[in-house]
Amino acid sequence: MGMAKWEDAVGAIGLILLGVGHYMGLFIAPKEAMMGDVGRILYVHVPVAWISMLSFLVAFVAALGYFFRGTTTWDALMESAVEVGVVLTSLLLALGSLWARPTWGVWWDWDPRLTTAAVMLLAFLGVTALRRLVDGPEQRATWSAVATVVAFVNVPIVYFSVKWWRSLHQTQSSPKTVDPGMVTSLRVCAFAVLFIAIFFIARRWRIAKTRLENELAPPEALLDSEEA
Amino acid sequence: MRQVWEVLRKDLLIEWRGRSRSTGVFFFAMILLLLFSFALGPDSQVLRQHAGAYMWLSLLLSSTLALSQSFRIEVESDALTVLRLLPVSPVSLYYGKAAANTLVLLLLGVASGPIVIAVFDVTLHAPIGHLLLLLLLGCAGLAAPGTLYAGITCRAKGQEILLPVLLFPLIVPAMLASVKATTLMMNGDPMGQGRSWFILLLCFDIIYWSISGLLFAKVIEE
Amino acid sequence: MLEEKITVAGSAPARSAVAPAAAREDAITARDVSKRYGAHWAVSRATFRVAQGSCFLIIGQNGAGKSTLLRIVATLNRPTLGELSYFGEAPRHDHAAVRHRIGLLSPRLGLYEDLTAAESLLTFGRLSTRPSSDRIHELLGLVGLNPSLATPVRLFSQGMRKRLALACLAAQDPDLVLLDEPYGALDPAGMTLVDNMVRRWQRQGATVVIATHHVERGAELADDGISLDRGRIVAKGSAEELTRFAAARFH
Repeated sequence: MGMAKWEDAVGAIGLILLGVGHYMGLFIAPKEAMMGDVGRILYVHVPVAWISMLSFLVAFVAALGYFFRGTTTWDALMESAVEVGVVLTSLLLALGSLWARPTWGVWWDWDPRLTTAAVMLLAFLGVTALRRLVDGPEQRATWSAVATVVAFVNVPIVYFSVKWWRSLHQTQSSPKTVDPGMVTSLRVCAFAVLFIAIFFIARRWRIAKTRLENELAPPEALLDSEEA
Repeated sequence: MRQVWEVLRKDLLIEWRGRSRSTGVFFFAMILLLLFSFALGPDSQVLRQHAGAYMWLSLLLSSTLALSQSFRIEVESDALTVLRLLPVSPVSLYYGKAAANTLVLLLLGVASGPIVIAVFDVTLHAPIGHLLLLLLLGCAGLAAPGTLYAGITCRAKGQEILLPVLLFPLIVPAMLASVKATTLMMNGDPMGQGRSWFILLLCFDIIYWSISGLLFAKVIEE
Repeated sequence: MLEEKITVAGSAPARSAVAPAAAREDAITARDVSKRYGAHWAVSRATFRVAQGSCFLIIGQNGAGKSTLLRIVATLNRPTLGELSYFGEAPRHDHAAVRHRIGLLSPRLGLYEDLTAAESLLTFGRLSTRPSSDRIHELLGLVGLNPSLATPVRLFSQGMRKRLALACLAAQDPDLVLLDEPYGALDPAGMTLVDNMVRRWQRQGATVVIATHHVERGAELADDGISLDRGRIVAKGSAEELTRFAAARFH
C-alpha cells in the first residue's frame, strides 16, 4: 500500500499549506486596497479557479490517453479528474457568488469568466451523467472520453464568445501588480489546493481503477473458475 | 464524397417518407413560439426585441426531437449494424447524417419564419438572404455536435434527458451568436456588429464540423 | 462433465462441391474467442475454423451465445479475449477491409420501416455496389417480393421482412454471409427460400455461417459446425454428427 501512503502524505502537506496560507492571507497580508477584507476571498477563489482548470486539463489528457491506449487506467483517471474538477468548479461558483454580492451588489452576473465556469460545470456534469447511464464498460469509456474532449474544447470558445458578448469583470490581476505579501499567501494557497486536488484525484483514481477492473475481469481467473 | 451523398440521400428519403413525424416536430416548434409570446405579454415592443431569442430557443428545443429521431430510425431495427458492415466509412456516415440534420433543421427554421414574423410583429432590416444564411450557419452549428451526441445517446439509458444535458452547454456560443445576429437583423444594426457574430458562428461551425467528424468513428465503433 | 467432444471428421462431406478444407485457406479462424458481459461470459473460449466456400453451422438453444459469437465474427463487437483471422489475415486495428466483405442477417433485420421494398434494396445496394434497376428486380423476384415492391416495409409481415432482408443482403455481394436465425418467422416456402439463397451464395463462392436452433434444417445445408451451450463449445464435427449430438442431448 505504498500508493496510499504517498497520497496521504500529499494530502497532509496540502492541509498544512492550506492552514498556513489562510493564516497568511487572513492575518499577515495587507488589506486589498479597493475591496477591503472581502478581497481576501481571493486566497481561495483564485487557487480553486486555477486548479479546477488543471483538473479538467488532466481529464482531457486522460481522454486522449484512452483513445490511444484504450486501457482502464486512463478511463479511471478521466473519471477521477472530471469529478474533482466538477467539485472544484462548484466551489468556485459558490465563492464567486459570495464575493460578487458585496462587490457588485448581485449574486450573479453574466461576466465571461463566470459564465464560462458555469457552462464548463454543466458540460462536465453531463459527462458524469453519461457515465452513470451507460452500462457497457468499453462504451462508457469511449463515449465519456468523446464528451470530455468536446467539453474541454468548448471552454475557450465559450469564453471568447461571452467576452465578445459583454465584459465588465476586472482584468486578470497578475501577481506583479499587487503587494508581495499578497503574492506569497496566494502562492501558498495555490500549492495547498494543488496538493489537495492531487490527493483527491489519486485516491479517486485508485478507487475507480479497482471498480472498473472488477467490472472487466480478471478474465483468466474467471474462465478457470468456471471450468473447475 | 459519394458515400456522404448516398447517406444524405438515404436520410432525406426516410425523413420524407416518415414526414408525419417531422410535422409533429414542426407543430412542437409552433406551440413553443406561441407559448413564448404569451409568456412575454402583448407589448409589441418587447415582443419585437425578443423575437430572435425565442425563435432560436424554439428551434433548439425542437432540434433535440429531430436529432434523436434521426438515430432512432437507425437503432430501432438495427439498421446501424447493417450500415457498419457496408463499405461506408464512419466519417462519411457522420457528414451525411449531419448534413441531413442541418437541412431538416433549416427547413424547420424557414417554416417557423412566417410564424415568428406574425406573432412577434417583426420587420426585417436586412436582406432575406442574410437571414437564410444565418439560419443555415446556426442549424449547421446545432447539427454538428447534435449528430455526434445523438449517436451516443440513442444507445444509452435515458436518452430523452441525456441528449439535451450533453448538447445544450456546447451550444451556448452558437446560440449566442445566432440570437445576437438575428436580433440585429430584426431591430436594425446601427453599429454594424452583425458581421462579427457571423464570423463567430462560422468559426464555431468549422471547429465542431471538424472535431465531431473525427470523434464520430469512436462513437459508432462501440 | 458434459464434454463429449466429437472430433472433426476427416473427409469433407459428400454434398459439398468444395475442395477439401486443407487445400484452401480458412475463411474464419477463431482462437479462444471470449466475450464477457458484466459478470457472465456470453462466449467462452470458442476455437474453430470455417473453410472457405463451406457452410458452417452454429447450433444451440436460445441464450447459448450464438448471436454474440456471430456479432464478434462480423467485427461488430470486440472479443474480450481471443483472436480472429479472416481469409488468412488477422485485422489488428482496422477492420474496414475485411468488414466490407461480410454480410450479416441480424435477427432484427435492420430494415427502415418507412421505405418501400424497392427503395430499401436500392438504398442498401447504393451504399455498397451501385446495383442496376434490373438487378433490383431480379433480387426481388428471387425472394418473391416483386408484387409488393412499392409497399412500405412497415406494412410487411415478419416473413416478408425477412425475405426483403435476405434480398438486401444479396445486393451487397458479401464473401462471408452470416445468418442469425434465418428460419425464424418463416413459412415452409420461406424456409426453402433460405436454403436456396444459401446454395446460391455458395455457388458464387461465398462462405456461409448459419446460427440456428433448427438443427435438422441447418444440418441439411451445412458441411460442419459447432454446438454452443451457455457460451461454450460442447461439440464440434460434421453436420451429421452435430444432428446426432443434438438429438441425444436435447431430446
